[in-house]
Amino acid sequence: MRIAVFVKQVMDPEAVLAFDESGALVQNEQNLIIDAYSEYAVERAVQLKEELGFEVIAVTIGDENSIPAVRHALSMGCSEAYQVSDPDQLCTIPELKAQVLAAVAKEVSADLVMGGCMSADTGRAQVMPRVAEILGLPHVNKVVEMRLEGNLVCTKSEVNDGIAEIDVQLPAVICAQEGLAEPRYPSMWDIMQTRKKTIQTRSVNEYATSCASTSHLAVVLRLKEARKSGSIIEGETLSEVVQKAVSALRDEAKVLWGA
Amino acid sequence: MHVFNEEEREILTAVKRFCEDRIKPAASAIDEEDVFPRELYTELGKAGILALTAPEEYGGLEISVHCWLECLSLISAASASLSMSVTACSSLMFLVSRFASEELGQKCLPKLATGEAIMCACITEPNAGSDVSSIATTAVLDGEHYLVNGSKIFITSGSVADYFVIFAKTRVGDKEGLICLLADKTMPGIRITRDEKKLGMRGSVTSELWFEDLRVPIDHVIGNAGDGFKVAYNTLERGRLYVAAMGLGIARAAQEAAVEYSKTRVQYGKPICKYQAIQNKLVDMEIGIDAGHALVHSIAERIERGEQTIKQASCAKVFCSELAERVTAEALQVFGGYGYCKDYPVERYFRDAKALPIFEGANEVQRNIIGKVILA
Ligand SMILES: Cc1cc2nc3c(=O)[nH]c(=O)nc-3n(C[C@H](O)[C@H](O)[C@H](O)COP(=O)(O)OP(=O)(O)OC[C@H]3O[C@@H](n4cnc5c(N)ncnc54)[C@H](O)[C@@H]3O)c2cc1C
Repeated sequence: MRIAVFVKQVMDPEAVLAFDESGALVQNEQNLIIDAYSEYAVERAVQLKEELGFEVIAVTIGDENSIPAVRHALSMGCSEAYQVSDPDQLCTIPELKAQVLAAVAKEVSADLVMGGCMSADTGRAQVMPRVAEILGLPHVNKVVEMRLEGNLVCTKSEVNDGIAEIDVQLPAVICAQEGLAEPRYPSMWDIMQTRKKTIQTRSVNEYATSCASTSHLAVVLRLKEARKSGSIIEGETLSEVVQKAVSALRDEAKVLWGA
Repeated sequence: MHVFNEEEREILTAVKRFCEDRIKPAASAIDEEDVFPRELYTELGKAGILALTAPEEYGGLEISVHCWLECLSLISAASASLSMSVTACSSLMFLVSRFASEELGQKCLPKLATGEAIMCACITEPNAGSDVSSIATTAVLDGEHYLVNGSKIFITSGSVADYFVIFAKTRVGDKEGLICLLADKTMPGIRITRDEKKLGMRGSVTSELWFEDLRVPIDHVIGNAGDGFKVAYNTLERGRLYVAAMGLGIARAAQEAAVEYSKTRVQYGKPICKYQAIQNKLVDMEIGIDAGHALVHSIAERIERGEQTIKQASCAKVFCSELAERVTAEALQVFGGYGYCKDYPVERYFRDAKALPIFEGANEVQRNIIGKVILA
């Protein structure tokens, strides 16, 4: 049995964000880390490998900055790794990325496809369901627990106020939510061992049927404006405070009329 | 300037992550409780961080000195007291792999590299601090053993150690000399009398030990009988560089905390970082840390080339330990009254930094060493 796990390299959520003049995010290798949601998926896949002897293939798309993410997945215990080289970052568009990943999943003959339910940077939550659609496979989103029973993937999935228990037939697509598994720290020995493994590289052009079919594009990125500090209304009596609040709402915030 | 290769960057990312996720959140409690965090140390060993400097033949990974210095800085920034044990361990692994026999190396290095065992260096005595030549502990040859008697003080990790590297006076022919011996805690005759209560580096135990008719087999001599000074000075040379890296880590942690705080603390209607007096403090910290960084890496470069670094290591130890003292004091000042309280970690950085100019050879003595070289 073969599991393909998709991993993404993202900006460290702790890092201070900076933008260049064109409004693009300034990335440097110091503040890039493996996406947390991808990591939950990798951990669970590696656990399945250890329990049941599966093959786990880590796959990423990106420029050379994406390599550390798959290396990390290898250090955690994945058996093989693929990088779909995308030096011009064409695949920042979810539909294109899904197209490419679906093709890779087929190529590596994956019986189970795993990845994060969204990524910690853009949080678009689109890629995995799209991959499932393209491959015509069932998918379960926001999975917090999963096990295999023969050909059945038994999952617990987070829904609004509770948990849905959903079983799907293999082959299937599983999207990891926080809690699916506690990612291990690869030891320094694992990291050094991993350096001896080769990462198979493919070019994005081998898979993408059309790079022009872009339905949307990120034009500019900027930080949200910092919230202005509020003010505390004080007064001797309750009615005085209420009076002041009403005046403030009417005269300053201009959200009340006629009061 | 050393440029870290991909492998080193990967190691540093992993160490940084371990520090952020595991060490930093525990640091305040380690200080508060003043108990050696054995579990965390074991975890550090399991993660392979202690193995990074150990030789490959003993299960280590033998990374570059440059990379190890960065690791030490990262660990020190997260918890200086934990880094005391890590620094001691790596200095002693250096000593054992360089001067001890293959058998002794096999006996302890693999366990040190995985964090299963802890080692301590027993040099200082109540009447032999800076003046190592006054060591009064004796090792007397008695058949197949050395009989060791005496007391040691301020021994890092003493009460939690499995292995003891002991420096003692001995007779070599008709002369007196210093001997370096490896004892382990299963040998009868090692008594731990107390752990010091300290200003900082709390959670790193600093112990007083007594050796009473401790019998150490003669094949447990490190180097030759009489080579004690040579062994000590070669190891201290490396240890001093490690202390410099610790200083840089503590200074960096303090500076980053001060920069962040100064951006959010508003007085007279402006964040205090807008006042030149505060900004200059932050800038001076940055200049010092950058200079210290360049200095320690220039020494790492020399070590990688196989050159001697006695004077340079002393320079780095003095510069970076005093930098850490200054930077932590100024960072505390930037925090004002809040810095003096335990709600923020700067007061801990300040207390921890105060140890650096004292141990691994007090700075006054380092200046004597440097003075001797430049006046020779
Ligand atoms: C936290 C901590 C951890 C330690 N860990 C270890 C350890 O693991 N193993 C170990 O063996 N020791 C350890 N030590 C001991 C440490 O190495 C000694 O404290 C240090 O060498 C100074 O010795 P002393 O304390 O006896 O001071 P003294 O030697 O009494 O010095 C007192 C003062 O006089 C100055 N002075 C002394 N001689 C001269 C001189 N010739 N010229 C100018 N000034 C001079 C010193 O610089 C110092 O300022 C540790 C100490 C501390 C604080």
